[in-house]
Amino acid sequence: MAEIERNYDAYRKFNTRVFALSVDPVKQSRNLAEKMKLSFELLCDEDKHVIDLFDLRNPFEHDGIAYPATFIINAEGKICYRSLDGTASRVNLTEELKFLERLHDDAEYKMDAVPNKTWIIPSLKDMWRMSSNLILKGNFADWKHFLLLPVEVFKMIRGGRREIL
Amino acid sequence: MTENVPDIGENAPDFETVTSDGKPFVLSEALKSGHYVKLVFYRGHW
Repeated sequence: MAEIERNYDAYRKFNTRVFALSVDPVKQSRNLAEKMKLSFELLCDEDKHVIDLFDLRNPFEHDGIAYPATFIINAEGKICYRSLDGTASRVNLTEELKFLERLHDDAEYKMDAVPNKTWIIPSLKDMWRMSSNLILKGNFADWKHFLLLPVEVFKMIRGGRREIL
Repeated sequence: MTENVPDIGENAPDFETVTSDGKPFVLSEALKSGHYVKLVFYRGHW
């Protein structure tokens, strides 16, 4: 979300309005928008009818949340870009902005983004966020990510880590 | 996941929901302005 916010001007330049949808209730989404000072709008799909409509419900986590995904839809309502990110909690926007730039010149341009596996391993920041969720909310659903911590530390030591968030 | 996720070149399913300001949001209405719409599904705060 922070990444989108940082690139918000680029989206505006390419005539694109951004909406981010989750199953969080209105109040929680409003808190997030205020805390992160978001320039784009958050949509609240509390009854999950939209994620079902797009077949993006992940029933294995937190009683059903959205699989991370991005669609770019043109004014005729057609999908011209799609990125299904599986379990990754964030995506690389560089590719998407390049796509928009090309779309700017060629309105017929379409792209199905290939998920980039390197983004799936959570960063230390993710670890921290999950730990706080665990402690503050007693949520054990993400225990599997903790198993990846040694991998993350190894990558940091190797110096290959790109900071994305 | 997800065999029936809308594909590129297909029409995005129209939907109605609410924004974090409590205002109604309809996808087809948002598209009427002639903009592209980037629709992100995120995991949420849980």
